[in-house]
Amino acid sequence: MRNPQTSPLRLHQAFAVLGVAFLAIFAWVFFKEYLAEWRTIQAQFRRLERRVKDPHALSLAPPVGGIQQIWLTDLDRVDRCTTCHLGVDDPSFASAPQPFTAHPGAWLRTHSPDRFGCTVCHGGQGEATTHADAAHHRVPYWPEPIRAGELIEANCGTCHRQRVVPQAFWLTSGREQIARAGCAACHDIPGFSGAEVRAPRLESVGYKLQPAWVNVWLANPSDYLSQARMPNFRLTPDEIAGLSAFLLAQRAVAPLDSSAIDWGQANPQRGRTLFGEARCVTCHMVDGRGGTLGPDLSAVASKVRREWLFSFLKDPMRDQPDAVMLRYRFTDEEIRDLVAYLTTELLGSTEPSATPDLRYQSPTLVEQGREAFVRHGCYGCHRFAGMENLPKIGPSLVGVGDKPVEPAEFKGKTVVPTLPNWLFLKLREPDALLAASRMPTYAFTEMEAAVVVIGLLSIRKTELPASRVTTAPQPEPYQPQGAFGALVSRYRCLSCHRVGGSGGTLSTVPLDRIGSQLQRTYLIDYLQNPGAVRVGIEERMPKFGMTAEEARTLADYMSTVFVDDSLDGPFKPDPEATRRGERLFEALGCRSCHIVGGRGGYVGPDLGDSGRRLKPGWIEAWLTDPEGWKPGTLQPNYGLRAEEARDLAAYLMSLTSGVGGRTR
Amino acid sequence: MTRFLRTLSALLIVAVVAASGAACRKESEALYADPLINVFTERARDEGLTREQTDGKRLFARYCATCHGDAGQGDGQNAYNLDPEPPDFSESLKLHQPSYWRRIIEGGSAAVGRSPQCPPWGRMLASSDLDALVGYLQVLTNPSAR
Amino acid sequence: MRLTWPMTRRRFLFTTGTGAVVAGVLGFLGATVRYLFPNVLYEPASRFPAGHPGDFPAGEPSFLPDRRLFVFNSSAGFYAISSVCTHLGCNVRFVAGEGFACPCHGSRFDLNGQVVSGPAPRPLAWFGLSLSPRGELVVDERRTVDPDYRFKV
Repeated sequence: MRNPQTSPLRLHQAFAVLGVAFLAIFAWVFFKEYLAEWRTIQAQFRRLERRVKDPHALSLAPPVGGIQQIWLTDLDRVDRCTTCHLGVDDPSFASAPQPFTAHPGAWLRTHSPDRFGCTVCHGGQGEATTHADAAHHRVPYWPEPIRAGELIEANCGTCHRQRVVPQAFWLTSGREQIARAGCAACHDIPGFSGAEVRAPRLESVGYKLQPAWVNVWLANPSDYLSQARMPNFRLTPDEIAGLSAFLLAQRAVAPLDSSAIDWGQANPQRGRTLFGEARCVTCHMVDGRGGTLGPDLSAVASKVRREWLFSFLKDPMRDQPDAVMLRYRFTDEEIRDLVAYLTTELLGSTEPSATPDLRYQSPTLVEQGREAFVRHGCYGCHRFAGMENLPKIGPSLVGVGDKPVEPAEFKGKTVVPTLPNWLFLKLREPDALLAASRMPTYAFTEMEAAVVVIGLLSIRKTELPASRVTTAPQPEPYQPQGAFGALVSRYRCLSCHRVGGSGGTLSTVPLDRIGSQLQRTYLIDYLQNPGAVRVGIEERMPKFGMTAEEARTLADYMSTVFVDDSLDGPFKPDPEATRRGERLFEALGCRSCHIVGGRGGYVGPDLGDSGRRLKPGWIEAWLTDPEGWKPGTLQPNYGLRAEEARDLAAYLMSLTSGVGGRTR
Repeated sequence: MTRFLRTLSALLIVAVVAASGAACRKESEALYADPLINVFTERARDEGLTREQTDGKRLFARYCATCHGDAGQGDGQNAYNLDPEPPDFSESLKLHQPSYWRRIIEGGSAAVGRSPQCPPWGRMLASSDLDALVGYLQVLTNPSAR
Repeated sequence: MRLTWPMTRRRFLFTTGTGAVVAGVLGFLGATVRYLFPNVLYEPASRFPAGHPGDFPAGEPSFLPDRRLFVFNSSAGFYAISSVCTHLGCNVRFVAGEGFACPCHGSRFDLNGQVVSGPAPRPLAWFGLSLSPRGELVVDERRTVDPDYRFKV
């Protein structure tokens, strides 16, 4: 090396400074590795561990150091969260501070960390080993931040594909809301088929509606009914005029002739009584009380024409082949009175207009209406002849939980630009994000919109291995034939009852083994004169006015076909067993919920006449495993032994009095 | 020599600049609203319950309120059918420990030698459900447990 | 180059700069070597829960095929022996009262996994055990232990 004295001093200064800076950088690298966040946290954990656990437990489980990871090979996922969350699986850290807190609840018992890791449920960046990078909060460019609070249930739904996930309340509410709102009418949504969306067919709607009502309804359905199921399509006045003309021009099937009816003779009071007796409120809401299976009738007088209503009550399937509504056995006079009650007492705020609206006779207006009908995708809910093959109007929601959103899409709103917020805003105000969105405005409350977002976020793009997914079995479509089938169709049994998993959900008891549960004679009696088996329950089977012959046909079929052989054992009355059963009945406190001999609670069915109603094999099976027969039942499981259940069955079979029974 | 020093210095400058650039990445997010999360936080604030207590409230409404009443005051719609009638929790629960309440929920009131009217839910409810119910009962007896 | 005192300013600066650069380069080399030993690899966990102690019948070995491992529940305590033959890695079989036998090339091991005969060069591996907070027996394949190892729960 030559004499350093010859080179300029400034260069020496720079060399020294930069050399030291260079060293400092590598010192920084060194300390960054050895003072890594996770090492500090693990040292804290060791100190805490010595305080929390006794020495014996510590000696059995020597401390684990270094980066911990759970590798889920089938999902190609690596979670290193347990590097810092060291106490997560250890109950002794239940009240320790984060990041050492034990996992709350029993979740890790059902979702072992070895098999599920952490981010499968929680989201976040599992490979990261620092607080910030692990996406505890939103990290730019990491698509899946940790799901905060209730939003975590979206991740439950990624694997749990069935509609009802008992442990995930918000997810289940969201999915039920998606089904109820009919989102699948316009969007492809995995797990939801458009078939569930049922709105009236409109091919003969011109005979049904009052023109004034059509305009009010189209402008904003919630002006007619605050709980209207149809959303607001934000139609222009021109579109309303066209659609109105188009709808009123639809006259495929004329209503049944009612010209012979003398409306002057009608008795609305008798109609009101009939309305109550037939239990119409099981499905129809009137002034805030009643079911939601059928339309709200609070203001029906301003909506439909009298002649159409008469025809509909006489034969609902005439212009609505898929009607949920059953065909009652009313006489013409009874229908007349019912119609009189509905059209004179259930008035709304819209006044029926006296002048006839004849614009539907204009072919151009009707054509404009037809175009609007197609443009807004009305055919998604209202199936319409000739429009069966038109595509769903909205974009497919397959993989919507992974939809990328850009901050620019929030149009200057001061909102954290995440997908959940994007969906939330879109549901609340469809044109808030994208101008000219075709999506109608739903009257979702904030909470309803929030749970729908949770339901949507659970629909992910990635294919999961079949072993990771739980689904509900697909129900077989059930279509009985013959005389039984005709009656099932006429009385629309499947609007409320389920057979083989298909049918309505209003009744909580599937009919699949009803013949082994209930006695034939009781069924015959009940079908003709249905009362409330449970005193407190609102939804009761309507009184169809069924003939004895029809009731026998139905009961015979159910008693021979809808049976479960495992429930049909021999039964011999045994006074000894009956006495033992009675003592057990009192000792277990059954009377708290069940009435026997006129005394008891209203929670469960009245058992005063169970000997005439139930079959002994069923009682026995039911009492031994109520949840197995009916998930979510309120009947407690007393852990009865087989002979105890048999004694109780013997006792209940001895009760035939019906005192205090079905009197209401 | 001079050239050697110059080259080395230039390389060092590049290294320092690169390192400090890497250290300075930091994203600032203004105080933006998170409307979706707010729906739930506001609801929780209105009710003043934790998540577990909310679960407990839901279970209470389903399994208990028919007899014990919505607020546990012993005034459920089925209460007047019972003898003895269910007690008012705001008073009666204070006489016992939460572990005692839990035993009743799990094994029925007969399990602690009372009347058999309250059935055992232990075979139908998960242990975490029982915890949640006990947690909610604590709210009912002592509003400050919220 | 000699270090003499008092030195000129130029020489001081040159020495400091060179020293720092040399130290930095050494640090760089050290970091490079460190890089060859990663903190964690994409591989199945070497520590894994084998099951609750009560799940292992006393006196006889329990074979865990997924983990290629025998777990013994003896009166003196638990111990775990690898079933991987040290010759070419076949699964050895347990022969009651004798030890282990490899079906591939006839290596034989005694009850402690020591080689009795055959081509196997080394005894079977013994792994350390611990108890998880949930009360499960945890096998640590990174920690090999001597054949007198017994884990008392």
